[in-house]
Amino acid sequence: MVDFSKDPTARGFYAPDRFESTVYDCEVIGRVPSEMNGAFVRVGTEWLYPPRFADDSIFNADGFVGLFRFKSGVVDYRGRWVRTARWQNDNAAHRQLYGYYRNPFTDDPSIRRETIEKPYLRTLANTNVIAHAGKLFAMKEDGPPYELDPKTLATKGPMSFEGRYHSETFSAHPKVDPVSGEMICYGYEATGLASNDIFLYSVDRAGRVTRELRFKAPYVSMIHDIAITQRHFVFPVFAFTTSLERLRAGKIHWGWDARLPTYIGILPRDGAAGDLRWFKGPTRSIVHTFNARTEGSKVILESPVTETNPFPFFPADPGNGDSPDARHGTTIRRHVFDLDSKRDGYGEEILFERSVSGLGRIDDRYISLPYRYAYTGFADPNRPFDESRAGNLRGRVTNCYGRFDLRAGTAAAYFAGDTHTLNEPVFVPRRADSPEGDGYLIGVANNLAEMRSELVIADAQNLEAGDVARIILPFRLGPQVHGNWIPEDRLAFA
Amino acid sequence: MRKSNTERIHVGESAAPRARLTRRSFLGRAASLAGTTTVLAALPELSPFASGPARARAPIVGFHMDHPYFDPSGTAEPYYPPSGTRSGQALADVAQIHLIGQFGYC
Repeated sequence: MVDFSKDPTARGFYAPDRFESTVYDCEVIGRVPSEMNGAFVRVGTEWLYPPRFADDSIFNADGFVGLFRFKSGVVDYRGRWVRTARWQNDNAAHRQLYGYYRNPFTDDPSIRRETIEKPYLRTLANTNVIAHAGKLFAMKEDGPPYELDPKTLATKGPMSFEGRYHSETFSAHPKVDPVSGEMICYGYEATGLASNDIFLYSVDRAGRVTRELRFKAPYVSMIHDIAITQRHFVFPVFAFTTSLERLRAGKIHWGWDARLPTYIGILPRDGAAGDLRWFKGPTRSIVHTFNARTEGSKVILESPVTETNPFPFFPADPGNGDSPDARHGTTIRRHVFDLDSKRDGYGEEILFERSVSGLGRIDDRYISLPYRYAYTGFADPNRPFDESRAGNLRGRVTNCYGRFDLRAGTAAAYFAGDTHTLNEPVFVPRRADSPEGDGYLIGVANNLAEMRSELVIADAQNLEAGDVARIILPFRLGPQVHGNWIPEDRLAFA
Repeated sequence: MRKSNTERIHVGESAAPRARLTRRSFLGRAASLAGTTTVLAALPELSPFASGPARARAPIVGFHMDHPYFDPSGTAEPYYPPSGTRSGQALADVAQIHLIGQFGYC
């Protein structure tokens, strides 16, 4: 029997959905730009069964993919579970077998021996969904990606890249180089739980693994995202850590340790593993990156950065908590690494004082290249918010998208509404050859008062004007982690 | 390691069996301020609002990255969803047969 009634977080807008759906010809307010032909694909989390532990992370819920198919101004929506091995096991048992986020030692005894030996079997493929080499796949950084049918979203199964991908894990943030067309991907904890091995791969346009590098991190850490330039790879290692001792003690995978420094690894793209150089700096959290570039001897990285623990569900052990001097909130920062310097320090600059969401994006056509605009959401407490209809969340929800001009130092904002919270934005170029920033900013807005989700589309060059279109779903969508725009020439959509 | 008897999510155990709701108490609860308050009110040992001798902080529901989360430390800023049916509160506490009997859904 499925009973979420004892979960105090599973209420109201956040009560579980647990259904698959297809909506043809979605309702639209405004007009969907006719040049948007392709799909916005998102993945997030939905509990098939209640979690075993009250303080588990939402990141431990099953993967659920949603696809908004755009064609000539008409939008269809389809939502399906990612039927991982874990999903299938739970469904067969009609209960939650899996314990804490990425801790197989807390699993049901019926599966625990296998999941400890093969922790990648626990993956939920719930973090990102991208297309490469004509395939659509969903990923989570603790296991292999799962391929999905782009027409039906049926789960095809885990991907092995013809046996040439040897890491047990696959990051949720591969980077597709717009110049070479190759996908750069990697796995950390590559040889098993709490290992500090990192395996890095190049996968060509046709989906073939062409290169593998293996190296180690200074300490086991959440290397959730990386950056690439045309000449370098950039690996942030920061203060979340784990160990087999921690996991055997039954704790959630990550613990924050504010005593740990930040390491940033810089590796030439044409180099060997031994060419990796680690720079060292103060405690930071760099969960996601915007972009990086190489200018002469300098590698420049821009990211949303936090000085404190960004995830309260991955708390610090006693004595490892944040410094009282640490600045709270996430800000857009620039880090500069001088490869000619003999010192291992680096420069840091806060580019915008406004506190922003850690889910930031750019025009993906500019990955690894000099660029101008960064996009991310933020909570603006000065905008209207109807607490009677949406709860005591004024100033606590992402209610705006921002376009941050890194060259001019200015920002523009889109406001979603007085009962809305926004998921991660995605930039969609108006045309394949449009200049940077000429296009649309899209993302899911949850309407807490009307108990429904809406896909908003705004002109990225005129955010203050509001929507150009808002696609209305008659139900709530579950939490989203990441999403992407995939043009229709990239995949065989329906 | 936590005990393995965690088939269901644990927010603590109520010592008293839950009383059957009357229509008056149901309507009163539906008009209450917050879902969290309602949930915790059903678990008196864990209510942060209980009177009596000073006690350790009770777990609360916080809000982070646009989603509620369970905070065992009780130190986060609480999340209170809007009151009424859209909050999902109260209905979870009422047996379906009682609800139907009161409001004649069938």
